[in-house]
Formats: sequence, structure tokens, C-alpha cells
Amino acid sequence: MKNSTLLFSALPAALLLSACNTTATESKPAAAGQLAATPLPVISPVLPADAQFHEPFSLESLQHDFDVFSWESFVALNWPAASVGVADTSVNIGQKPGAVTVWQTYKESRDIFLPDGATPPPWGKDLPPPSVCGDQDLPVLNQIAKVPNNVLDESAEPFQTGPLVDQNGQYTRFEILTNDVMFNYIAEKNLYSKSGQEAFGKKADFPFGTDSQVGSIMLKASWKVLGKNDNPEKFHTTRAYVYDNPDEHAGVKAACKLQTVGLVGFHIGTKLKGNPQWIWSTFEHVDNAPTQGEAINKKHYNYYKPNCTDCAAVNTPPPRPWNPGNPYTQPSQVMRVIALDKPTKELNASYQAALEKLVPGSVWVNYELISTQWPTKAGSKTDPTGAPAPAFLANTTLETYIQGTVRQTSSSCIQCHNNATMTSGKFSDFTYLLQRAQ
Amino acid sequence: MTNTSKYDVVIVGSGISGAIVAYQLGLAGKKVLILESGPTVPADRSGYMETFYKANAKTPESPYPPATQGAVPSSANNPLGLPNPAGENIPRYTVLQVGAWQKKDQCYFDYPSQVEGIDGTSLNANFAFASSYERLGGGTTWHWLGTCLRLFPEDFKMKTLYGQGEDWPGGDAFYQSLVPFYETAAKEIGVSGDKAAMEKLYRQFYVNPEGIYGSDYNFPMPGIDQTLQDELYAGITDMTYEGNPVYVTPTPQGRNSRPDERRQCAGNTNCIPICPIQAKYDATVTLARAEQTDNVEIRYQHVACNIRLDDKQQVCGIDYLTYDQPNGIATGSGTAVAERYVLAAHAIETPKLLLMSNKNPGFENGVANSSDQVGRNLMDHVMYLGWGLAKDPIFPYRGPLSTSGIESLRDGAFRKDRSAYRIEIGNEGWQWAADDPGTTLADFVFGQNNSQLNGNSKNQQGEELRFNPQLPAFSKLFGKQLVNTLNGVYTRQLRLGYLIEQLPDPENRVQLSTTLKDNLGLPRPHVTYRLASDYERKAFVSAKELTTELFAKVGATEYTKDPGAPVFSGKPEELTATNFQYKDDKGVTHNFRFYGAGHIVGTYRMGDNKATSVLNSRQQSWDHDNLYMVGSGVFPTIATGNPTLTIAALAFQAAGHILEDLNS
Amino acid sequence: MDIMSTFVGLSSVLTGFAQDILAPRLDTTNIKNLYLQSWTENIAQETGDANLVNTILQQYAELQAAGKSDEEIGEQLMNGNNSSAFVLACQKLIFLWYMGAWPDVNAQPGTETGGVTTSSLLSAESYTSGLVWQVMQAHPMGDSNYRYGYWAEQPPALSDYTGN
Repeated sequence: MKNSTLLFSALPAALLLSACNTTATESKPAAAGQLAATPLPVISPVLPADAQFHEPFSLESLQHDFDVFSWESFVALNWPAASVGVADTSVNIGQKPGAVTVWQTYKESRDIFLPDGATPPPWGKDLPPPSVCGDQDLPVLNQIAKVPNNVLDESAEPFQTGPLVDQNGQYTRFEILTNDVMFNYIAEKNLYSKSGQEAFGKKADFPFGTDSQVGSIMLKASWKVLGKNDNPEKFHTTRAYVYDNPDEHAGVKAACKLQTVGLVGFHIGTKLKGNPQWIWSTFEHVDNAPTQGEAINKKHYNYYKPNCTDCAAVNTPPPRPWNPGNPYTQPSQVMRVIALDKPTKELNASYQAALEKLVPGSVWVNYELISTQWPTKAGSKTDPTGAPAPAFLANTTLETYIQGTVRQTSSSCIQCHNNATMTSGKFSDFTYLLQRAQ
Repeated sequence: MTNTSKYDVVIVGSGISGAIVAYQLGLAGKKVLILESGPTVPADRSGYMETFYKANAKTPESPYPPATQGAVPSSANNPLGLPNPAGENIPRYTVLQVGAWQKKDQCYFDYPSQVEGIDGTSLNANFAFASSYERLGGGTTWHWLGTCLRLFPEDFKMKTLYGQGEDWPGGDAFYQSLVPFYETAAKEIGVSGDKAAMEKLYRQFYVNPEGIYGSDYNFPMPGIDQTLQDELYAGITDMTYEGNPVYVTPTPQGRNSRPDERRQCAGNTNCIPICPIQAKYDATVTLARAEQTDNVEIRYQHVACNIRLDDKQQVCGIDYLTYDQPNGIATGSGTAVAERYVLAAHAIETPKLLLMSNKNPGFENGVANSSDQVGRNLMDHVMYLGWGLAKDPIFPYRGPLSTSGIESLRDGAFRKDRSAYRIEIGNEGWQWAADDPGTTLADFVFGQNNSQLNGNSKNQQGEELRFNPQLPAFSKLFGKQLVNTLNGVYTRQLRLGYLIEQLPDPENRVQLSTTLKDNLGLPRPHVTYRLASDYERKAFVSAKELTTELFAKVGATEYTKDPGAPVFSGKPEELTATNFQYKDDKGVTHNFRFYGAGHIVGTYRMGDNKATSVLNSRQQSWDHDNLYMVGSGVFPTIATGNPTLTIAALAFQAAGHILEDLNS
Repeated sequence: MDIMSTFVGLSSVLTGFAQDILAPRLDTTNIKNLYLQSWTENIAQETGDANLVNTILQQYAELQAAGKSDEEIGEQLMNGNNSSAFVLACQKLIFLWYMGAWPDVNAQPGTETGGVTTSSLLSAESYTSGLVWQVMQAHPMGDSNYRYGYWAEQPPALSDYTGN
């Protein structure tokens, strides 16, 4: 039939492939109202290599399948680590509060792009923290062989849109990390230096996953310094060097402090077979900010003060000069602009229930998926962004000031990262990391 | 006078020149206050982008507040729904007002009524000014093209070399003093440029006998990739015109060819009205750097309205009005006080402010106006557009709006007789020239012929223009035939724009309207604008002739439309705004329509004579030592390059002078 | 066949773009809904014939059911025996898909230009959805998904844009 051919030609090839070898999965699409009847999802330390798709395909069904993939990735990445990049399967996620997670052992951006384009230390090895941090050792947080030097050296959101300031007047800190597949590609192709990129002379093309093998993953995390009115038991916390980076803004003086920080936002970018635009999952702490048009029913938000008359205008950055070293900055007054959709809320509830069931009181029930962005026309010859769904996606801690629904300017992971290039001007395969090469 | 203020300097205006001066002073530890009449720089340009997407007329001003179209319900007399400037606190002139130039409830400028008894060739005919500017944080660089050409030394000594226009104060020496600031400006803007191509050009014009650029100089970023259309013209290698070689030069541009804190250009083909991803530099970049020094404070929605002088004829304060709503009442007033003052409000609002400041004894004609030159010599690059269809597809509507031009005709002996020009190669098809893609689409869907592609039109050379001779005139197409026809047209569209140098004319001027006011009660500009010599008109004839030659050379068919003779009397909607004629030596009368380049220049010019200029060569008022003015208004002539790089260089230079004076 | 699939089929015949381009299987913008609504309302208002749109859709559906090719259907609709209001309504639908704007056609037959057409955009999304940018193998001005330097290279083939 002519029509059905047309219909199928709209789907990315990979979806069709994946659909053919659908493996046993516990989670089925949860139709509205049937949540109670749906078994809770399996909580597993295994990183999914691909999403599992269920026919009949529709925007809604595929969104659900990608959202499940996001949650599976989130759980596996946040599993306590046994060694670098390896989950400790002897414990459950949530069982050891403050344990270093799998992703925290990944390679930080500051350990890849070094001054003068120097060769980065190999996978599993970190640089020492900046000298201003002193020789204070990070406390041993668990039994894993390597304790990562978590250095939070970023406080700026993309394209100078502004810093995010918490209710205690402190700048939110960011870090970007890659998994071994992505790091090894950078290391092997010498893409960590300007000269290496120039010599490479072509577009980057990071390895994607296979049916069983995980492909390239990049992560961005946002942390807040825990302070007054913050309940550490509600956050995934870590001890980290909070570093004021003088390279970020004029006038910033190098300073460093070992502090307890709580995870408030988390991006996962995964390169899947058949999806050259990558799959973009984003999670947040549930107390970050209320949503415009929804009830403001919490007493305390991380980035919003209810009933405030003298606060900053909603979603407006503080005035310059920007300096994370300031002892106090007027807090950002943040609201989510695009509400979570109903199926995502339901999926969040089922994962949170499963996490709670696995480990009662688990800190991870305080995190929620905002959405997953994926290409609906991954193979389009005329649109390299592959017509992403949803069209817009923002994390209130990472794209605070560019939330919205205007093409090109409002936060859309794929559309923005589609413009990412390296220092040679060549396409960097959806990562802005490579332009950091020196 | 004892300075009790906490500011060293007050600057009026936060566009590129105000921002640069503020940044430089802030870096040096001086305390600066900027008064900006318009709204703040938004945290996110989505609001502007959305307004742009929704605008029916995608004019340069379309993204920016206050609304330029659909502001009021449209009517027969006001089809675009233009707002009434009398109800706006910060009205500005927009290109949509050009056609409505005689309607005082739609046009911000007050124009004189047309001279009686004139014909199209009369040199004293009044026209509408064809260019616009913005009043908001970051100024008009929000919608600049990004062209970053230096002027030539020859541009600075027009009077000496050709007996036309004016020399810049000092001529050659001034040019040489500006060179280091050109380099600083290019660095601040982050210009992408092809050094070798510029050297070729600079050798042609003997720009610098020692080798054009310093040996260690290069553009901050490599040149932007050239379009397929550029390649078509780049094939011209053996052509000369009036003694000059004709060749294409890649344009140095203020947009990223490499990523830095802003993104690499992604070719949104929208530099004007708005770059969605800020790959193109705009003054908000420098403004942010200025604020980052912690020494610069900006107050938005503060409209400077009067300059006060003390009894020593020094400026002692600038009065301002504030407002909350763009159409609301004034909500406050005050006086900004500092040691030194800088006006950077562009070439219409700056002279307006000077002229409004007429209460000071001895300066009843306005501050800094003992020469009576304030507001005079208003200039623009008057533009000639030529358009055509290439033989084969060259795929316009892709890439930055312009990536190259013909610079090799910017100077020559002909300059005694007619204006020089540069030619900008447009990448936007017939969007500007013929309001495409809508015009061509409507023609082939509804059987019309406004594009000249679907009827019995002939071009000015007598060639038949119907795109597909196999189709009848006024075809109404659909389906695949529509697809193939439209594709055939759009992918071949070429456009050339000639930036014709307009001479300074003291009668082309900004004055205060005696009858029209804005919502704050401030007088609106009264603008007199003419093409009062044949010098520019002859350049139009030359541009027309060269276009035909160039299109022939690349095998293109010319579609440049005869704009018809001007209409000087009748109902307001029947009057033409920018049409004129020229009768050449052979007795042939040519019809022209000029367009604006957005280059508003000359209204508070520098000079080396107090009697004939507003500023000395330090961009300092002859009349008041502690008053400086920056921006394109300081230009004695408009010269042959787009002005912004020179504006920026001059602002850096002025900042140095101001610092010098502050520290002395 | 439901009204939307009939509308998309008709639109495909008139615009020369494949149905899958006008209304992708996974449709993230759903501009077709806006266009069907706008077309229906505007035509009813302009012609005073609330049924004209249905007549057009019905004729298309019948021709399609009769197994006619797209070319034959197009000929029948536009150059057959239909009223000028019928044909103009079809032309306006073409214009709507191409520009995302509703046209106001001032026809002046016999003049050099044949009259003028002005138009009014439906929304920001209808601007960026205009087929006119696809038929020129480009992108909406101000909304490019291409990458640095694409302008120095030939674009993808026209058939990749039209789906035909």
C-alpha cells in the first residue's frame, strides 16, 4: 500500500532495526490511568546501549521509549562506582548516600583540554586540583580504587547568558564530563589540542553504541553549595573543590574551597546508532523551581522564593559584573517555562516509586526527568537537526535564561549543539567541548 | 565647578561607540554612567526573534521595540498599522515610514513640504531619508550587516585630491593616526577576514607604503567562506572600468568564522534584521565587557533631553526624563553630573539633543553650535540596486547576507566628476530588490507579474523577461510545474548593491520640528534631505551601466526594474519618496530610486576649523572642552566603506583622548 | 478517509510537495491543523460559501478514489470545469502552504502586472514552515539548521526537499 510505505519512510532507520530485535524489557508504555496496573520498572546498574522501541510507533510511544532509556541511563550512571567507570553491583543505588557515582569517575573537561594543548592524562587518571586549592585531600568517600578530584571550575551558563544564583546567594557550579568511549576518541585523534584539530582537518564523528556496547556519552552536571535551609539528605552530595576560575570573567580572582555540594541538574547526551544527533536526557532536582502556570506549593525551592516582592525578575540573570567569588549575590528567581508533560510525570512517579521500594528513603526519589530530546527524522538530508522532539527542552539549572519556545534562540539541545564546532571551524559532532582546546 | 558626582564621565547612548568609550574608561578605573533612552538588553533575544518571525514586513527594525508594524489596527490610510510617534516615548524612524514620509501621524520625522514646480531632475527636490536606527541597549548594531572595511587615505582628502566634499582634519596624518585603532576595533569586534585579499586591494590604492598591515598583524579570525554566488563573480578576471580593474574581494566581517564565547556563523541569512545566534558581533558584547569592569553603570529608559552649561561654558549636567511604559507618562527626571560628557546617540538623536539644549546663555542655537554646523551635512550611502537571474543556479538565500564585494572601484580620477562606490554582493536573492520570495510566488500562483517573470515585461535593455517562454503570460501554476518554476527562479537570483558616496551638503540637515512632538513632549526631528548635485546622480548612471556590464559578463539576465518617474504632487500615498531622474549627456533621461544603506553620517562633524565644524580632531567640542561626541556623526564625509569599523576605531581613539584629559 | 488525510492529499497535489513532507508521520509542528482551520475559515468568510472547502475536498477525494494520478487530479481541479471561486480557493491554499501567510489578492487582469497580492502571516511557526524556503533549497531567513560554510557547497537535491 502506498500509504503505509510513506508512513514508514518517516521513521529513522535505527528505530525500525531496533524494533526488530526488541529484547525483553519490563517496562511497557504506561497509558494514562493505567499506572497502577503497570509493574514498577527494573532498577539496574547496567547502562543501556540503546533504547527499546514498541510498536505501533507514534510521537508519544517513541517519546516514552526514549524517556525510559533516559531513566535507565540516569540510574546506571548514578550507581555507586566500584572503580573508574564501573558500577559497584554489590550495592544498590541509594544505599550509600554520598557515594561517588559511576559518572563522577568519568573524565572532566579540565583534565582533557590542557594549556598549550598538552596531552591529557590517560583514562582513569586526573590532574591535581589547581594549586590555589592547596594540598587538602578529598576525604575517602568509599572503597573505590581512585578518588576523583572533583573540581567545579565553571559558573557560567552557555553563551554568557548569566550565572545561576541559589537562595543563599551562591553561584551554581557546573562540570562537563565524557565517558571512556568519547574521551578515547578525543585522545586518539589528538582533538584535545588546537594543533591536533587542525591536523585532523575534518568533522568529528564520535563512536555510537551498538546493540550491546555503549557508545559516546557526555554529561553536564550542576551543583549547588549546600548551605542554610538546604537539607543535605534530599540531595546527592559530594565533597568537591569549588574553584573560582579567573578565565571565566574579567575580574574573577582564583580561589578554591572544599565544600559539600548537592546535585541539582544533570544532562546526559548519548550517541545512539541511527541517531547522529545524539539523544539528550535531562534531569533535575524536584525542588529547583516551580512551573509557570502550575501551583507554587513548596515552602522551599532551590532557585525560587515564593511570595517574594523584592526578588529579581523571573528568569533574569544578576547584573554584571559576574563573579562567583562574591560573598553574596542576589538570588535568581527561576521558574520553569515549559511544563513536564503528563506521561513524563507518570514515568517519573513510577521510577521514583521503584527507587523508593529498592532503598526506602533513597535520595534519588528527589530527581525527575524533564524530558528526552530525540530526532524524529534522524536521517533527513535537508535538516541536520532531524526535527527534534520535543522541539524545545531546557534544564532550569543549565539553560535558566533561555527557556521558551522560539526557534533558534530558546533552548533546544539538538538545534544548539548542531552549531558546535572545534577550533578549526569544523563540525565537532554536537559537542561544544572541542572548542576548549588550546 | 566642584564635582560632587560619583561619576567621571556621563555617556549618552549605549550603541557601539558609547559602549567602547565606556569599556575603555571602565578598564582605566574611571566611573562611567550611561544614559540609554531605550529598553535594557534582554537576557535572551527570543522576544526580539519572535517579533521578527511574526512580522509581515521583515524590515531592519522589525524585531525591536517599540513595534514598527501592526501597532495599531491597519486602515486604508495606514495599511501597515504604523504607530503614531506622538504617542511614543522613544519613537524612531523606520524604513516603513519612508513610504509614509508625508504622514505626520505615522512618520517620526517632520519633512518640509515638496518644492513646487520641480521635475525629476531638479536638484532642489526634497526626498525621504531612507535609513533608520534603533533606540535600545546595544543600539543599531543589533541590525548591522557586519561589514568591517577600513576607509582609504584617499577618502580622507577628497577636497585636496578631487576638489569635492571635505578633507578629514589632517587628511593623511589623521588616517595614519587611526590605523592602530582600526586594529583595536577589529579585535574588539572579532573580525573574520582574508588578509591576502585585503592586501591586494590596499596595494591598488597605496594605502600604506610600508606594507599595508604591520608584519605581525592578522585578522582575529580567518575569512568567512565565500558563497557560490561569490564564485560566479570571482570568475571575472579581465575586466576594467573607468581605469580601474574590476575584481571581487571577500569582505572582512564582524561575525565568527570560528567559535569563541559566541557561536560560529551558521548562515541564518539574517544578519539584518537579527542574528538569531549572535554569531555576528553587536555592541551588547562590548556593553557587557564594560559592565564587567564594575566601573560602568547603565540606566535604561533614561532619555537625555537637555545639556546644561555653566558660566564657563563647560557642560555641568545632562537632564533626563524617565518612563516605565513605552507609551506611558514620564515617571521621573533628573540631571546626570560628571567631569566629562560624551554624546553617542547616533547622528539623528545627538544633534537633536544639542539643538534642544537651547536655554544656555550664548548658545541659544544649541550647545556646541557656535559654528551653526550641528545637524547639517546629513549623509547616507545612497544605494542603487541591480538584480538579475544567473544562467545556472547559484543558490542564494543561503549564508551571511553578504560575503564579498567589489572594492576596486572605490577611488580613481573619476572622483572629480562623480561619486565613488563599492559594490556589495547580496546573498538574499531578490528579497530586498523585489520583496521576494513572496512576489514571485504570488505571480506564479495567482497569475501576476510583479517580478517581471510571468508576463510580457522587457528589461531596460529590451530583453524579454518571461522566465519560461514555453508558458503563456500570467500563468497560474500548481503542483510540480510550480515547484520547478519557483526553484528555477529562486536558485538563480542575483543582487548587487552600490553604496554611492553622498557629498556633505549643509542644507541636508536635522533641525527641530516646530510643530511635532513625541510623547515626552520633546520635539521630533525635522529633516531636509536632497540629492542636490549631479555628482551622486552621475554615479547612479554609472552603477546602472556597470550592472548591465557585470551581468553580461557572468551570463545573467538583468531584471533591474525601471522605478518610473518621481511623483511630486498628489495625495500623500501617491507621492514617491526616493525617486529621481538624471538626464545624461546624450539626452537620455534615466529613472532612479535610491535606497538607504543605514549609514547615517555627518551631523556633528570634525574639522580643523572652529567656524565650519562642531568638533576638533580629538572629537571634542570646539565650544565646550569637557564635551565629546562619538559615532558616525563626526565623519566629515561618508567615504566609500561601510562606517561601523571606522566608528569603532574613532571611539577607541576618542576614549584615549578623554582619558588623557581626565588624567591631566 | 478522514478530513485531515484528504486535506493533506489535496495539499500535496496542489503544492507539488509529498504528503510526508507536508505532514510527516512524526509531526512535531502539526502546521497542517493550523492551515486547514485557517483555509476553511477564510474561504468561508471571503466567499460566503461555507461549503466550498468541503466541495473541494470531496472532489479531490473522489478523484483520488477513482485512481487518478496526482497530475490528473491537479488538472481536473484547477483547469477543469470548476468555478473561479473554487480555483482561487485552491490557489490560496497553495500560497498558504508556501508562505505560511494568508493572501489578499487584488487581481487587475489586463494590466502590466495583473494586480498585486499582499499577505498576512498566521504565526511565527507558519513563517518558518513555509515551503517557499524548501523549494529554493535553502531555509527560512533567520532559521537555518545548516552548519558553518554550507553556503559554499551545493545544497541537497530538490527532490530531498519536496519528497518527490
